[in-house]
Amino acid sequence: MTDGIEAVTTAALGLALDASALRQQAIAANIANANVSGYMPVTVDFEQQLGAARETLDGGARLDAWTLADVAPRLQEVGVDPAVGLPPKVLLDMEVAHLAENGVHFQALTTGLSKHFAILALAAADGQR
Amino acid sequence: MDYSSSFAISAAGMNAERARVDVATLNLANANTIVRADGAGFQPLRAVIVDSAQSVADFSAQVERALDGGSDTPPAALSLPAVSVESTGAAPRRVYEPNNPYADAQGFVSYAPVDTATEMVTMMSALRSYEANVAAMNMARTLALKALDIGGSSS
Amino acid sequence: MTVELAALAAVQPVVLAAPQDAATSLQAMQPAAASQSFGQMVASGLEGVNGDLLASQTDLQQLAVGNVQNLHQMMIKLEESRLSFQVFMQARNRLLEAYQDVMKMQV
Repeated sequence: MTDGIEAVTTAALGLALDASALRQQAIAANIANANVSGYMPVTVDFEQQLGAARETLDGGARLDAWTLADVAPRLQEVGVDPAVGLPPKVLLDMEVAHLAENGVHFQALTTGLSKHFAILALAAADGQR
Repeated sequence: MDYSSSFAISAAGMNAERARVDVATLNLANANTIVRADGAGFQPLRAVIVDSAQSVADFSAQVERALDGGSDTPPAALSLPAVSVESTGAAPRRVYEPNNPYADAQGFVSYAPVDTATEMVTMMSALRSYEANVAAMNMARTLALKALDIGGSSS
Repeated sequence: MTVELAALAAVQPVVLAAPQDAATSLQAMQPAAASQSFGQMVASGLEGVNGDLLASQTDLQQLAVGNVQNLHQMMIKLEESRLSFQVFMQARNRLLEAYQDVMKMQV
């Protein structure tokens, strides 16, 4: 079962849910500290680690367990704005837009995961409810 | 179109409108500053919003990717608003105040050429546009959540 | 899913026409049997359902990676594959019941 396609999809969706939850915390921290002087905004480093996975999927193949082996969502600081020499200002409406998008993404992932489990439960229960 | 590009588009619009409000607020705050004899003083600013597909690279790249991968129709170039702030370069407005220590030889004092009525109108129109952008973003979010309900809530 | 329905529909005209005219019903059955054997129909149906399910798995992986091209299309395909899998399982259960009924017959 560890190498089956169902386990890879479950693991991928679980990783994406981890990243989405972490992103929610990062955005909430940025919003809470929006008016604090010298505050360094944080983001989540997850999408950038998925280059190999995206290439596999764009080529039409399905993911295997090795593509996602090293991927882990992490908090990272945005970094000092080179033009000004200070941490970039937190733009509240940008953060709220990211919050809304992340909320929708989280719900899409959970709905996909529950439908995926529903199909597996159908197979396990022999077609009976 | 996927929901991440919808949010990016609305966010770009909100950014532009907020910049307009900020510029109008700055101009209004400095409406009565004095322009000194050597010409040094507050120069009112103007927010210029142009549509530019190359200005914000990751937004437009997201949109292009979504359009190219999604439908069969040829991809339309979706342009997002980009803001640049420039000074208006208007001449200072001169008010006759002979008793003011900053008055020149003819008794005129130069103030920053801020047109209060224009700035107030700009602020109100930017506020309405901002609300419209927020409504668009909320609608995009509702559509995406409704799409998740396809197939019923049966699990 | 459409192959299952076509297979089930091919069986029906035989049952309905039997009381009226046995000869025409036999003729109606011949072309269906000549085009595809039952085993081939089941195999192609299974292939179709499997392909649908694998495509849904790929879509879910795309969602996890962040490539959300068409959320509603993905949900539609997911629901279709789930329903076609359900129909296939029901057809398999009916077939098993029929087989068990036949095996219970006294020789």
